[in-house]
Amino acid sequence: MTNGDAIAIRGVTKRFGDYAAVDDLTLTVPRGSVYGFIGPNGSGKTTTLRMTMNILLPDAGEIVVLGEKTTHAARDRVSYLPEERGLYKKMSVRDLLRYYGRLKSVPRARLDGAIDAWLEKLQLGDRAGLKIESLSKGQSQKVQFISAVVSEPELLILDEPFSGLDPVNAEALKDAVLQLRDRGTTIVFSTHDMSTAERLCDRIFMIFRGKKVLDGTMAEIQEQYGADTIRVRTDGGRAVLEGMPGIDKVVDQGNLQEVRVNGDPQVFLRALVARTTVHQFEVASPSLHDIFVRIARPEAEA
Amino acid sequence: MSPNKILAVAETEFRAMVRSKAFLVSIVLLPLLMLGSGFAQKQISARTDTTPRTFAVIDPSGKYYDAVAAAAHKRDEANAALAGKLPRAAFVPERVDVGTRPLDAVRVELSDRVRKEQLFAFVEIPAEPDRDKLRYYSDHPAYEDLSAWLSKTLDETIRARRYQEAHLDAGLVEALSRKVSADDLGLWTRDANGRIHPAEKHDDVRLVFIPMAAVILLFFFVVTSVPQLMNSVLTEKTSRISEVLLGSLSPTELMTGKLLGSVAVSLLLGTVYLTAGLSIAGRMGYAGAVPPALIAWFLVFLVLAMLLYGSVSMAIGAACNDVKDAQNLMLPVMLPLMLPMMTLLPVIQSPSSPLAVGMSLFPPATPLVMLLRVALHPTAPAWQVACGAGLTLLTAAFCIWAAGRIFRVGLLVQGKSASLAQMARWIFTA
Repeated sequence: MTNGDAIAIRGVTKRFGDYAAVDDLTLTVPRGSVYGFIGPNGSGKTTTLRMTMNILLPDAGEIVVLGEKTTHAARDRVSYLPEERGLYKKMSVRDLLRYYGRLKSVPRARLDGAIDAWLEKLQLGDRAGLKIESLSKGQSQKVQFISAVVSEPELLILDEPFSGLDPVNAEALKDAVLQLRDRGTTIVFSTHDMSTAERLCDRIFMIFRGKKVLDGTMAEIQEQYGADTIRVRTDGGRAVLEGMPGIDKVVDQGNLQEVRVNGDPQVFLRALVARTTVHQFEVASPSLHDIFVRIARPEAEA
Repeated sequence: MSPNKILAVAETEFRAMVRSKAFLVSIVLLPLLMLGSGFAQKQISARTDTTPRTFAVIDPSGKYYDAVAAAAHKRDEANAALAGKLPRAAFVPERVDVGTRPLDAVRVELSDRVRKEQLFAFVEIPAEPDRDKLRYYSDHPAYEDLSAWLSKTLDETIRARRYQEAHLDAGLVEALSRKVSADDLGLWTRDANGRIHPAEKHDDVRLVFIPMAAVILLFFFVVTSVPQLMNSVLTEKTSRISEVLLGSLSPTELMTGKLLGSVAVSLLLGTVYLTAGLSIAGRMGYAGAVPPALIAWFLVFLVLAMLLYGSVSMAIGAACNDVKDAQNLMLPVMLPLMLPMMTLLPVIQSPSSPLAVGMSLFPPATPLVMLLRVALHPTAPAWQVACGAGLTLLTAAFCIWAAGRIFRVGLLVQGKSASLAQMARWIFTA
């Protein structure tokens, strides 16, 4: 079955004691998309992913994964890479990948070929016989990634897949994610890296205090938050902006200031020209990072 | 339930365990140690301290010293005849002449000589042995050979003297007071042809030693394998492997796979030990003493015990966050396993008593006690064996299910280890 959504979460609530980690969440992940889950720490990202994987059970609502009401049925078609993930230190890389592949019911005949191809792709071809404990951190993370994708899942769920990786290894994994998407794999990943989310994701979902606060394509989200960010470069610098009417916030970036205004940008421009020489004046959409901080400000500052 | 996934888990668990140091210890080192300790015992006994034990004898009546000296001499001759096969220290008596000195002064003086190691001990033979006790003084309370030999020697001497004084023939008295001994026999039987077969003598090796050895071996396997299983789960939890696994299979499948892997390891160990044990029994002339049915029952109860205790220990591993907590929680769980070990003797003496029957039908004790009853004579009735095995299997199935529930909750709870009460809540509410 290729129609329908990869994940459909309907009215799901999960409580831990009195605390609602996820509160009446409804979310649809279309097939073939790359969906980014963002949100501050403790906002319910991992709980949502765990419920999707059937590791936690929701207190209310339902979750349909690849058309199946329980992930049990879809288990072999879904792969999950949790945020905190360990490996059997004493196993060899190949044995470990074989084990994980078998747990996803990959036929043995296909498994070794898939393992070799992935090891080669992530520059680990010469490490297959080594024990996990002899690998570097970056290499182990790549092995963990391979363990999740070796079964060629229809749906791949990654919790913070790029955290702690050096830029080279992070790029390698991002390329791999995009290749999987091109082959039709639906990818859901959570991240704290907004630029990665902006670059890789077709759609972005933000959860804050258990509730959905953003959901849509980057363009939709930016439209929602308006073009209220203005980048200016003037002779007066930051000092000239002080006390000007209509300014909500100034982010000083040295030669450049990012200004959020609450009125008409043209009025602001006229006022600015009256005060100083303006070299650059650019009306920009807020970045995902900006939007994130705006929503989660109280938490992030806490 | 996916058999292929369970098999994959079982296979991986089996390989990991077989490659572990603990397995090497139990399959290679332990038998080596057992052989080694036998050898060491021989070596140590060959190095027994054979320094002559000189002891002073206060004999106020003067009637007994000569007998003691003669007996010591006879013992030395016997020692020499053994030619070092069973090395023993020589006993060398020394007569003390008290004379007119106060007895207490002599006692202190002799004590000083013992302290200076000029003497090993000294002994006072009472003038009236019928009324007073022999007094043996030494600074080596743990060395009892000399005092035991002295009291035996004096006992014999004094008894002979009593017979003499009563004008009795010592040999005749011995003959008249000989004890009646009993032969411990089984029952007479008549075969299908009407031929009568006499009862055979009971053989302690067959009747007591082999059943006990089977139970102790089973106990040994369980107590060595079960903590390994707990550790394996604990490691998967603390190194955050379990969450990855739970993305691929259900907690019950994971549990079952690990348990089966562990059962396979203990069956392998069991086979190795049984083969070794049977070959030793064969050499000692007891080739047929272990009936094949007992071997089969041993393996059946080994599997049952592993399923039961293995699943519980895995649940504990899943609920805890460090080895110490887990070991503390294991204690109350292992208690039902210790209980049968404490009731071994009463069960051996009366295998059909209410205690024996009750214990053998109490699932946590069934594997050990029922195995013992199957091995003993009269053996347990088939219905009781089947009933015990069935109950244990049911309990094990419940434990696997409950452990799966604890697994699901416990694996994601990091930080504090759970209490038994919390684990119970997880089972029924999670």
